[in-house]
Amino acid sequence: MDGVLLGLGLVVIIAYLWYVSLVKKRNAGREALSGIDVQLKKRANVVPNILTIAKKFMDHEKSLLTEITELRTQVTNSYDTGDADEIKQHLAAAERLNSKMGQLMVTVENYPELKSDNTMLQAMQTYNEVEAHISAARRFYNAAVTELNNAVEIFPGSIIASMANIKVMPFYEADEAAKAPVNAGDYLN
Amino acid sequence: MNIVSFIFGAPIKAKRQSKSLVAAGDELVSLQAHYDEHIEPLTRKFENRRVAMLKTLRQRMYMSIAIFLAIFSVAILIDNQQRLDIPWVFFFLPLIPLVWWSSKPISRYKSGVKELVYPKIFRYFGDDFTFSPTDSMSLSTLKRSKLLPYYDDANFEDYVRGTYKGIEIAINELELTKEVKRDKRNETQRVFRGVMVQLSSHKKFTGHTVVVKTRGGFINFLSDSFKSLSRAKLEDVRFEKQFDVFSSDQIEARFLLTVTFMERLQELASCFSGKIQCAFYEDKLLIMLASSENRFELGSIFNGATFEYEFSQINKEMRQLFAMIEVLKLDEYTGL
Repeated sequence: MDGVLLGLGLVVIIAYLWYVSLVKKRNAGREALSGIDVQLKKRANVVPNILTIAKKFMDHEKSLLTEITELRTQVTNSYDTGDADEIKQHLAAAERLNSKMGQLMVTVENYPELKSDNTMLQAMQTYNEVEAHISAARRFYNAAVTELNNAVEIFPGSIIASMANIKVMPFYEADEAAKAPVNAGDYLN
Repeated sequence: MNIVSFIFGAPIKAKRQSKSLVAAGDELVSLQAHYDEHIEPLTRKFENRRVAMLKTLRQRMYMSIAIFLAIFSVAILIDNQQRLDIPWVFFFLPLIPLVWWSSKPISRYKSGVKELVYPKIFRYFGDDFTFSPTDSMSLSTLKRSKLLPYYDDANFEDYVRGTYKGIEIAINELELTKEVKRDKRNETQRVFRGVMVQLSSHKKFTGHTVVVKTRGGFINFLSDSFKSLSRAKLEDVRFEKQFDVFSSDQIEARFLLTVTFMERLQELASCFSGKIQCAFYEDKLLIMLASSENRFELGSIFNGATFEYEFSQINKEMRQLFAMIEVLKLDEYTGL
Protein backbone atom coordinates (compact mmCIF):
# COMPACT_ATOMS: atom_id res chain seq x y z
CA MET A 1 0.00 0.00 0.00
CA ASP A 2 2.84 2.33 0.98
CA GLY A 3 4.57 1.55 -2.28
CA VAL A 4 1.45 2.45 -4.30
CA LEU A 5 1.08 5.72 -2.41
CA LEU A 6 4.76 6.53 -2.92
CA GLY A 7 4.46 5.75 -6.63
CA LEU A 8 1.32 7.88 -6.92
CA GLY A 9 3.04 10.72 -5.08
CA LEU A 10 5.97 10.52 -7.47
CA VAL A 11 3.65 10.58 -10.50
CA VAL A 12 1.87 13.67 -9.14
CA ILE A 13 5.16 15.46 -8.50
CA ILE A 14 6.51 14.62 -11.98
CA ALA A 15 3.22 15.67 -13.62
CA TYR A 16 3.30 18.97 -11.70
CA LEU A 17 6.93 19.67 -12.69
CA TRP A 18 6.04 18.84 -16.31
CA TYR A 19 3.11 21.24 -16.10
CA VAL A 20 5.38 23.98 -14.67
CA SER A 21 7.84 23.49 -17.49
CA LEU A 22 5.03 23.67 -20.10
CA VAL A 23 3.69 26.90 -18.60
CA LYS A 24 7.21 28.36 -18.56
CA LYS A 25 7.67 27.47 -22.22
CA ARG A 26 4.28 28.98 -23.15
CA ASN A 27 5.19 32.17 -21.30
CA ALA A 28 8.60 32.25 -23.01
CA GLY A 29 6.77 32.00 -26.35
CA ARG A 30 4.43 34.84 -25.41
CA GLU A 31 7.37 36.94 -24.21
CA ALA A 32 9.11 36.34 -27.55
CA LEU A 33 5.89 37.28 -29.34
CA SER A 34 5.71 40.54 -27.41
CA GLY A 35 9.34 41.11 -28.42
CA ILE A 36 8.25 40.85 -32.05
CA ASP A 37 5.43 43.30 -31.41
CA VAL A 38 7.83 45.84 -29.93
CA GLN A 39 9.91 45.65 -33.10
CA LEU A 40 6.81 45.76 -35.35
CA LYS A 41 5.72 48.89 -33.49
CA LYS A 42 9.11 50.44 -34.18
CA ARG A 43 8.68 49.61 -37.85
CA ALA A 44 5.16 51.02 -37.83
CA ASN A 45 6.65 54.28 -36.53
CA VAL A 46 9.30 54.38 -39.24
CA VAL A 47 6.99 53.53 -42.17
CA PRO A 48 5.04 56.87 -42.18
CA ASN A 49 8.31 58.82 -42.45
CA ILE A 50 9.33 56.80 -45.49
CA LEU A 51 5.86 57.13 -47.05
CA THR A 52 5.78 60.91 -46.50
CA ILE A 53 9.12 61.33 -48.28
CA ALA A 54 8.22 58.80 -51.00
CA LYS A 55 4.88 60.47 -51.78
CA LYS A 56 6.69 63.62 -52.89
CA PHE A 57 8.50 61.76 -55.65
CA MET A 58 6.51 58.61 -56.45
CA ASP A 59 3.37 59.76 -58.26
CA HIS A 60 2.97 56.47 -60.14
CA GLU A 61 3.16 54.20 -57.10
CA LYS A 62 0.06 55.38 -55.29
CA SER A 63 -1.51 51.91 -55.08
CA LEU A 64 1.61 50.46 -53.47
CA LEU A 65 1.77 53.32 -50.95
CA THR A 66 -1.92 52.88 -50.09
CA GLU A 67 -1.45 49.14 -49.67
CA ILE A 68 1.46 49.75 -47.29
CA THR A 69 -0.62 52.22 -45.26
CA GLU A 70 -3.45 49.68 -44.96
CA LEU A 71 -1.11 46.87 -43.97
CA ARG A 72 0.55 49.11 -41.38
CA THR A 73 -2.83 49.77 -39.77
CA GLN A 74 -3.62 46.05 -39.84
CA VAL A 75 -0.33 45.17 -38.14
CA THR A 76 -0.79 47.75 -35.38
CA ASN A 77 -4.29 46.45 -34.56
CA SER A 78 -4.60 44.51 -31.30
CA TYR A 79 -5.08 40.72 -31.31
CA ASP A 80 -5.52 37.84 -28.87
CA THR A 81 -2.07 36.46 -27.93
CA GLY A 82 -3.73 33.27 -26.66
CA ASP A 83 -5.34 32.45 -30.00
CA ALA A 84 -3.03 30.67 -32.42
CA ASP A 85 -5.09 31.68 -35.48
CA GLU A 86 -5.03 35.35 -34.59
CA ILE A 87 -1.28 35.20 -33.95
CA LYS A 88 -0.84 33.54 -37.35
CA GLN A 89 -2.87 36.23 -39.11
CA HIS A 90 -1.02 38.98 -37.25
CA LEU A 91 2.39 37.56 -38.22
CA ALA A 92 1.26 36.99 -41.82
CA ALA A 93 0.16 40.63 -42.06
CA ALA A 94 3.53 41.73 -40.64
CA GLU A 95 5.30 39.62 -43.24
CA ARG A 96 3.12 41.05 -46.06
CA LEU A 97 4.04 44.55 -44.89
CA ASN A 98 7.69 43.51 -44.94
CA SER A 99 7.30 42.22 -48.48
CA LYS A 100 5.57 45.40 -49.69
CA MET A 101 8.20 47.56 -48.03
CA GLY A 102 10.85 45.49 -49.82
CA GLN A 103 9.00 46.20 -53.07
CA LEU A 104 8.99 49.91 -52.23
CA MET A 105 12.75 49.88 -51.56
CA VAL A 106 13.35 48.30 -54.97
CA THR A 107 11.08 50.87 -56.63
CA VAL A 108 13.04 53.69 -54.97
CA GLU A 109 15.95 52.65 -57.21
CA ASN A 110 13.95 53.97 -60.20
CA TYR A 111 13.79 57.46 -58.68
CA PRO A 112 17.35 58.86 -58.58
CA GLU A 113 16.23 62.07 -56.86
CA LEU A 114 14.51 60.15 -54.09
CA LYS A 115 17.40 57.70 -53.82
CA SER A 116 19.86 60.51 -53.20
CA ASP A 117 17.60 62.39 -50.78
CA ASN A 118 19.39 62.57 -47.42
CA THR A 119 16.24 62.24 -45.33
CA MET A 120 15.24 59.19 -47.36
CA LEU A 121 18.69 57.66 -46.98
CA GLN A 122 18.55 58.15 -43.22
CA ALA A 123 15.02 56.72 -43.05
CA MET A 124 16.03 53.70 -45.12
CA GLN A 125 19.05 53.07 -42.90
CA THR A 126 16.80 53.17 -39.83
CA TYR A 127 14.29 50.93 -41.56
CA ASN A 128 16.99 48.36 -42.41
CA GLU A 129 18.08 48.30 -38.79
CA VAL A 130 14.50 47.78 -37.61
CA GLU A 131 14.22 44.93 -40.11
CA ALA A 132 17.39 43.37 -38.65
CA HIS A 133 15.83 43.67 -35.19
CA ILE A 134 12.62 42.03 -36.45
CA SER A 135 14.67 39.24 -37.94
CA ALA A 136 16.44 38.74 -34.56
CA ALA A 137 13.09 38.82 -32.76
CA ARG A 138 11.77 36.22 -35.22
CA ARG A 139 14.73 33.91 -34.52
CA PHE A 140 14.12 34.24 -30.77
CA TYR A 141 10.38 33.67 -31.21
CA ASN A 142 10.78 30.64 -33.46
CA ALA A 143 13.31 29.09 -31.05
CA ALA A 144 10.86 29.57 -28.15
CA VAL A 145 7.96 28.20 -30.22
CA THR A 146 9.98 25.13 -31.25
CA GLU A 147 10.62 24.33 -27.58
CA LEU A 148 6.97 24.85 -26.69
CA ASN A 149 5.59 22.88 -29.61
CA ASN A 150 7.94 19.94 -29.00
CA ALA A 151 6.88 19.86 -25.36
CA VAL A 152 3.17 20.10 -26.23
CA GLU A 153 3.20 17.51 -29.02
CA ILE A 154 5.44 14.81 -27.54
CA PHE A 155 3.91 12.22 -25.19
CA PRO A 156 3.36 12.45 -22.19
CA GLY A 157 3.60 16.25 -22.40
CA SER A 158 0.73 16.18 -24.91
CA ILE A 159 -1.66 14.79 -22.23
CA ILE A 160 -0.66 17.37 -19.60
CA ALA A 161 -0.82 20.14 -22.20
CA SER A 162 -4.34 19.18 -23.29
CA MET A 163 -5.47 19.01 -19.64
CA ALA A 164 -3.93 22.43 -18.92
CA ASN A 165 -5.21 23.84 -22.24
CA ILE A 166 -1.70 24.75 -23.41
CA LYS A 167 -1.64 24.85 -27.20
CA VAL A 168 1.02 25.01 -29.88
CA MET A 169 1.92 28.42 -31.23
CA PRO A 170 2.42 29.23 -34.94
CA PHE A 171 5.89 29.90 -36.32
CA TYR A 172 6.76 33.29 -37.75
CA GLU A 173 7.45 32.18 -41.30
CA ALA A 174 8.93 34.09 -44.20
CA ASP A 175 6.53 35.41 -46.82
CA GLU A 176 5.81 33.01 -49.72
CA ALA A 177 7.27 35.51 -52.17
CA ALA A 178 10.54 35.52 -50.22
CA LYS A 179 10.67 31.72 -50.38
CA ALA A 180 10.14 31.57 -54.16
CA PRO A 181 13.20 30.62 -56.24
CA VAL A 182 15.00 33.54 -57.84
CA ASN A 183 15.58 33.46 -61.58
CA ALA A 184 18.85 35.31 -62.10
CA GLY A 185 18.01 35.66 -65.80
CA ASP A 186 15.17 38.06 -64.99
CA TYR A 187 17.68 40.47 -63.50
CA LEU A 188 20.51 39.99 -65.92
CA ASN A 189 18.53 40.43 -69.17
CA MET B 1 73.03 35.95 -34.39
CA ASN B 2 71.43 34.22 -31.44
CA ILE B 3 71.97 34.31 -27.68
CA VAL B 4 74.67 31.57 -27.74
CA SER B 5 76.77 33.12 -30.53
CA PHE B 6 76.25 36.51 -28.87
CA ILE B 7 77.70 35.30 -25.56
CA PHE B 8 80.60 33.62 -27.32
CA GLY B 9 81.61 36.87 -28.97
CA ALA B 10 80.10 36.89 -32.46
CA PRO B 11 80.81 40.28 -34.12
CA ILE B 12 78.05 42.87 -33.62
CA LYS B 13 77.28 44.61 -36.89
CA ALA B 14 74.56 46.99 -37.99
CA LYS B 15 71.87 45.36 -40.14
CA ARG B 16 70.50 47.73 -42.74
CA GLN B 17 68.92 45.07 -44.92
CA SER B 18 65.17 45.32 -44.61
CA LYS B 19 62.51 42.64 -44.72
CA SER B 20 59.50 43.67 -46.75
CA LEU B 21 56.22 44.88 -45.28
CA VAL B 22 53.28 42.49 -45.35
CA ALA B 23 49.74 43.65 -46.13
CA ALA B 24 46.80 42.97 -48.40
CA GLY B 25 47.74 43.85 -52.00
CA ASP B 26 45.89 47.15 -52.34
CA GLU B 27 47.03 48.40 -48.94
CA LEU B 28 50.71 47.73 -49.36
CA VAL B 29 51.31 50.95 -51.28
CA SER B 30 49.94 53.22 -48.55
CA LEU B 31 51.64 51.15 -45.85
CA GLN B 32 54.97 51.46 -47.67
CA ALA B 33 54.46 55.20 -48.20
CA HIS B 34 53.82 55.75 -44.49
CA TYR B 35 56.79 53.58 -43.61
CA ASP B 36 59.12 55.45 -45.98
CA GLU B 37 57.98 58.84 -44.75
CA HIS B 38 57.70 58.34 -40.99
CA ILE B 39 59.40 55.16 -39.83
CA GLU B 40 62.29 54.51 -42.16
CA PRO B 41 64.06 57.79 -41.17
CA LEU B 42 64.20 56.50 -37.60
CA THR B 43 65.63 53.10 -38.43
CA ARG B 44 69.27 54.26 -38.91
CA LYS B 45 69.24 56.01 -35.54
CA PHE B 46 67.70 53.00 -33.79
CA GLU B 47 69.99 50.53 -35.52
CA ASN B 48 72.99 52.47 -34.16
CA ARG B 49 71.35 52.44 -30.73
CA ARG B 50 70.73 48.70 -31.02
CA VAL B 51 74.35 48.00 -31.89
CA ALA B 52 75.53 50.16 -28.98
CA MET B 53 73.01 48.44 -26.70
CA LEU B 54 74.26 44.97 -27.69
CA LYS B 55 77.88 45.98 -27.09
CA THR B 56 77.05 47.39 -23.64
CA LEU B 57 74.91 44.35 -22.90
CA ARG B 58 77.76 41.96 -23.70
CA GLN B 59 80.26 43.98 -21.64
CA ARG B 60 77.92 43.99 -18.68
CA MET B 61 77.20 40.27 -19.05
CA TYR B 62 80.91 39.42 -18.99
CA MET B 63 81.46 41.70 -16.00
CA SER B 64 78.43 40.26 -14.22
CA ILE B 65 79.62 36.70 -14.78
CA ALA B 66 83.06 37.61 -13.44
CA ILE B 67 81.61 39.41 -10.37
CA PHE B 68 79.22 36.55 -9.71
CA LEU B 69 81.95 33.90 -9.95
CA ALA B 70 84.16 35.92 -7.60
CA ILE B 71 81.40 36.37 -5.00
CA PHE B 72 80.35 32.73 -5.41
CA SER B 73 83.91 31.45 -4.86
CA VAL B 74 84.48 33.68 -1.83
CA ALA B 75 81.13 32.62 -0.35
CA ILE B 76 81.95 28.92 -0.81
CA LEU B 77 85.39 29.44 0.71
CA ILE B 78 84.00 31.22 3.78
CA ASP B 79 81.23 28.65 4.07
CA ASN B 80 83.73 25.78 4.08
CA GLN B 81 86.17 27.46 6.47
CA GLN B 82 83.64 28.76 8.97
CA ARG B 83 81.21 25.84 8.53
CA LEU B 84 78.26 28.26 8.32
CA ASP B 85 76.03 25.97 6.21
CA ILE B 86 74.68 28.86 4.16
CA PRO B 87 71.53 27.77 2.25
CA TRP B 88 72.34 27.39 -1.46
CA VAL B 89 69.72 30.01 -2.43
CA PHE B 90 71.88 32.73 -0.84
CA PHE B 91 74.77 31.89 -3.17
CA PHE B 92 72.63 33.00 -6.11
CA LEU B 93 71.30 36.21 -4.53
CA PRO B 94 73.94 38.43 -6.19
CA LEU B 95 72.48 37.35 -9.52
CA ILE B 96 69.39 39.53 -9.01
CA PRO B 97 71.08 42.95 -9.10
CA LEU B 98 73.53 41.74 -11.73
CA VAL B 99 70.79 40.56 -14.10
CA TRP B 100 68.91 43.83 -13.52
CA TRP B 101 72.03 45.88 -14.26
CA SER B 102 72.91 43.80 -17.35
CA SER B 103 69.45 43.99 -18.87
CA LYS B 104 69.09 47.75 -18.26
CA PRO B 105 70.37 48.65 -21.78
CA ILE B 106 67.68 46.40 -23.34
CA SER B 107 64.82 48.01 -21.43
CA ARG B 108 66.23 51.48 -22.21
CA TYR B 109 66.40 50.63 -25.92
CA LYS B 110 62.90 49.14 -25.94
CA SER B 111 61.35 52.09 -24.13
CA GLY B 112 63.06 54.38 -26.65
CA VAL B 113 61.39 52.48 -29.49
CA LYS B 114 58.02 52.65 -27.74
CA GLU B 115 58.32 56.37 -27.19
CA LEU B 116 59.46 57.32 -30.68
CA VAL B 117 58.58 54.59 -33.17
CA TYR B 118 55.26 53.18 -31.97
CA PRO B 119 53.38 56.51 -31.97
CA LYS B 120 54.46 56.89 -35.60
CA ILE B 121 53.28 53.37 -36.44
CA PHE B 122 49.85 54.04 -34.91
CA ARG B 123 49.60 57.43 -36.63
CA TYR B 124 49.13 55.39 -39.83
CA PHE B 125 45.58 54.56 -38.70
CA GLY B 126 44.61 58.20 -38.17
CA ASP B 127 46.04 61.49 -36.96
CA ASP B 128 44.38 61.13 -33.57
CA PHE B 129 45.88 57.72 -32.81
CA THR B 130 48.15 57.85 -29.79
CA PHE B 131 50.29 55.26 -28.07
CA SER B 132 51.33 55.49 -24.45
CA PRO B 133 53.16 52.82 -22.45
CA THR B 134 51.79 54.24 -19.17
CA ASP B 135 48.17 55.44 -19.62
CA SER B 136 45.25 53.08 -18.99
CA MET B 137 41.51 52.44 -19.39
CA SER B 138 39.03 53.02 -16.58
CA LEU B 139 38.99 49.89 -14.44
CA SER B 140 35.48 50.57 -13.13
CA THR B 141 34.12 50.58 -16.72
CA LEU B 142 35.85 47.27 -17.38
CA LYS B 143 34.43 45.80 -14.17
CA ARG B 144 30.88 46.67 -15.24
CA SER B 145 31.31 44.53 -18.37
CA LYS B 146 30.83 41.39 -16.19
CA LEU B 147 33.72 39.78 -18.04
CA LEU B 148 36.54 40.22 -15.54
CA PRO B 149 37.26 37.23 -13.33
CA TYR B 150 37.76 37.70 -9.58
CA TYR B 151 41.05 39.55 -8.97
CA ASP B 152 42.96 41.49 -6.32
CA ASP B 153 45.34 43.52 -8.43
CA ALA B 154 45.29 44.94 -11.96
CA ASN B 155 48.28 46.09 -13.99
CA PHE B 156 47.93 47.98 -17.26
CA GLU B 157 50.54 48.45 -19.98
CA ASP B 158 50.70 49.94 -23.50
CA TYR B 159 47.61 52.02 -24.20
CA VAL B 160 46.44 52.87 -27.72
CA ARG B 161 43.67 55.35 -28.46
CA GLY B 162 42.14 56.76 -31.60
CA THR B 163 39.04 56.97 -33.77
CA TYR B 164 38.01 55.11 -36.89
CA LYS B 165 34.94 56.31 -38.82
CA GLY B 166 33.96 58.28 -35.73
CA ILE B 167 34.20 55.22 -33.48
CA GLU B 168 36.48 55.61 -30.48
CA ILE B 169 38.93 52.76 -30.11
CA ALA B 170 40.94 52.04 -26.98
CA ILE B 171 43.35 49.14 -26.63
CA ASN B 172 45.15 48.27 -23.41
CA GLU B 173 47.21 45.36 -22.18
CA LEU B 174 46.01 44.08 -18.85
CA GLU B 175 47.18 41.60 -16.26
CA LEU B 176 44.93 40.54 -13.38
CA THR B 177 46.22 38.69 -10.36
CA LYS B 178 44.76 37.36 -7.15
CA GLU B 179 46.20 36.26 -3.85
CA VAL B 180 45.76 32.59 -3.02
CA LYS B 181 46.70 30.75 0.17
CA ARG B 182 48.88 27.72 -0.40
CA ASP B 183 50.56 25.83 2.44
CA LYS B 184 49.92 28.73 4.87
CA ARG B 185 51.64 31.12 2.45
CA ASN B 186 50.13 33.80 0.26
CA GLU B 187 50.91 33.39 -3.41
CA THR B 188 50.10 35.65 -6.33
CA GLN B 189 48.26 33.85 -9.11
CA ARG B 190 47.63 35.28 -12.56
CA VAL B 191 43.96 35.06 -13.53
CA PHE B 192 44.10 36.98 -16.80
CA ARG B 193 46.67 38.34 -19.17
CA GLY B 194 45.89 39.82 -22.54
CA VAL B 195 44.44 42.75 -24.40
CA MET B 196 41.27 44.73 -23.74
CA VAL B 197 39.72 46.42 -26.76
CA GLN B 198 36.98 48.96 -26.26
CA LEU B 199 34.91 50.27 -29.18
CA SER B 200 32.32 52.99 -28.77
CA SER B 201 29.09 52.77 -30.74
CA HIS B 202 26.75 55.30 -32.27
CA LYS B 203 23.98 52.80 -31.68
CA LYS B 204 22.31 52.47 -28.32
CA PHE B 205 22.59 49.09 -26.63
CA THR B 206 19.54 48.74 -24.44
CA GLY B 207 20.67 45.47 -22.92
CA HIS B 208 23.85 43.86 -21.66
CA THR B 209 25.13 40.94 -23.71
CA VAL B 210 28.24 38.89 -23.02
CA VAL B 211 29.94 36.24 -25.13
CA VAL B 212 32.09 34.02 -22.92
CA LYS B 213 34.07 30.87 -23.59
CA THR B 214 31.83 27.85 -23.20
CA ARG B 215 31.32 26.61 -19.66
CA GLY B 216 30.60 23.06 -20.79
CA GLY B 217 27.37 21.14 -21.21
CA PHE B 218 27.08 20.03 -17.58
CA ILE B 219 27.26 23.54 -16.07
CA ASN B 220 24.87 24.83 -18.74
CA PHE B 221 22.48 22.00 -17.89
CA LEU B 222 22.55 23.04 -14.22
CA SER B 223 22.42 26.80 -14.75
CA ASP B 224 20.98 28.98 -17.49
CA SER B 225 22.31 32.26 -16.14
CA PHE B 226 25.60 34.12 -15.77
CA LYS B 227 25.98 37.07 -13.39
CA SER B 228 22.22 37.76 -13.58
CA LEU B 229 22.10 37.50 -17.40
CA SER B 230 20.00 34.84 -19.14
CA ARG B 231 21.37 32.37 -21.65
CA ALA B 232 20.72 33.11 -25.32
CA LYS B 233 20.80 29.97 -27.43
CA LEU B 234 21.97 30.75 -30.94
CA GLU B 235 21.43 28.70 -34.05
CA ASP B 236 25.09 28.40 -35.03
CA VAL B 237 26.27 25.02 -33.72
CA ARG B 238 29.97 25.72 -34.41
CA PHE B 239 29.79 28.98 -32.46
CA GLU B 240 27.82 27.37 -29.63
CA LYS B 241 30.60 24.78 -29.22
CA GLN B 242 33.13 27.55 -28.54
CA PHE B 243 31.06 30.19 -26.78
CA ASP B 244 28.13 30.75 -24.44
CA VAL B 245 26.03 33.87 -24.85
CA PHE B 246 24.17 35.53 -21.98
CA SER B 247 22.05 38.63 -22.24
CA SER B 248 19.51 40.82 -20.53
CA ASP B 249 17.88 41.37 -23.95
CA GLN B 250 17.41 38.20 -25.98
CA ILE B 251 16.43 40.01 -29.18
CA GLU B 252 19.33 42.43 -29.04
CA ALA B 253 21.71 39.51 -28.45
CA ARG B 254 20.49 37.88 -31.67
CA PHE B 255 20.58 41.20 -33.50
CA LEU B 256 24.21 41.76 -32.56
CA LEU B 257 25.47 38.23 -32.96
CA THR B 258 24.91 37.72 -36.64
CA VAL B 259 26.71 34.95 -38.53
CA THR B 260 29.14 37.49 -40.01
CA PHE B 261 29.94 38.91 -36.58
CA MET B 262 30.51 35.45 -35.15
CA GLU B 263 32.91 34.66 -37.98
CA ARG B 264 34.78 37.93 -37.41
CA LEU B 265 35.06 37.17 -33.72
CA GLN B 266 36.59 33.79 -34.47
CA GLU B 267 38.98 35.34 -37.01
CA LEU B 268 40.05 37.93 -34.46
CA ALA B 269 40.66 35.19 -31.92
CA SER B 270 42.93 33.33 -34.31
CA CYS B 271 44.70 36.57 -35.23
CA PHE B 272 45.50 37.25 -31.57
CA SER B 273 46.27 33.55 -31.01
CA GLY B 274 44.19 33.50 -27.86
CA LYS B 275 40.81 33.07 -26.30
CA ILE B 276 38.27 35.77 -26.87
CA GLN B 277 35.30 37.03 -24.88
CA CYS B 278 33.25 40.15 -25.44
CA ALA B 279 30.52 42.29 -23.94
CA PHE B 280 28.07 44.77 -25.42
CA TYR B 281 27.04 47.26 -22.73
CA GLU B 282 26.67 50.98 -22.10
CA ASP B 283 26.86 51.68 -25.86
CA LYS B 284 30.26 50.04 -26.01
CA LEU B 285 31.73 46.82 -27.26
CA LEU B 286 34.46 45.42 -25.04
CA ILE B 287 36.61 42.62 -26.42
CA MET B 288 38.79 40.70 -24.01
CA LEU B 289 41.58 38.75 -25.69
CA ALA B 290 43.46 36.39 -23.42
CA SER B 291 46.98 35.90 -24.67
CA SER B 292 50.25 34.96 -23.04
CA GLU B 293 52.08 37.04 -25.64
CA ASN B 294 53.13 40.55 -24.76
CA ARG B 295 51.57 42.74 -27.43
CA PHE B 296 53.18 45.77 -29.02
CA GLU B 297 56.58 44.43 -28.05
CA LEU B 298 59.66 44.42 -30.22
CA GLY B 299 60.83 41.26 -31.90
CA SER B 300 64.24 39.82 -31.08
CA ILE B 301 66.97 42.35 -30.20
CA PHE B 302 69.24 40.39 -32.56
CA ASN B 303 67.12 41.45 -35.55
CA GLY B 304 67.80 44.75 -37.27
CA ALA B 305 65.81 47.81 -36.16
CA THR B 306 63.70 48.07 -39.33
CA PHE B 307 60.32 47.78 -37.50
CA GLU B 308 58.74 46.35 -40.64
CA TYR B 309 57.60 43.19 -38.88
CA GLU B 310 56.09 45.23 -36.03
CA PHE B 311 54.34 47.60 -38.44
CA SER B 312 52.90 44.73 -40.53
CA GLN B 313 51.74 42.83 -37.46
CA ILE B 314 50.05 45.85 -35.83
CA ASN B 315 48.39 46.73 -39.14
CA LYS B 316 47.01 43.19 -39.47
CA GLU B 317 45.52 43.28 -35.96
CA MET B 318 44.07 46.77 -36.36
CA ARG B 319 42.42 45.79 -39.68
CA GLN B 320 40.61 42.99 -37.86
CA LEU B 321 39.25 45.52 -35.37
CA PHE B 322 38.16 47.89 -38.11
CA ALA B 323 36.38 44.99 -39.82
CA MET B 324 34.44 44.38 -36.60
CA ILE B 325 33.29 48.00 -36.60
CA GLU B 326 32.11 47.59 -40.18
CA VAL B 327 30.34 44.28 -39.56
CA LEU B 328 28.51 45.70 -36.57
CA LYS B 329 27.94 49.03 -38.35
CA LEU B 330 28.84 50.72 -35.08
CA ASP B 331 29.51 53.90 -37.06
CA GLU B 332 25.95 54.29 -38.35
CA TYR B 333 23.54 56.72 -36.77
CA THR B 334 20.10 55.19 -37.12
CA GLY B 335 18.18 57.19 -34.55
CA LEU B 336 16.81 54.07 -32.87
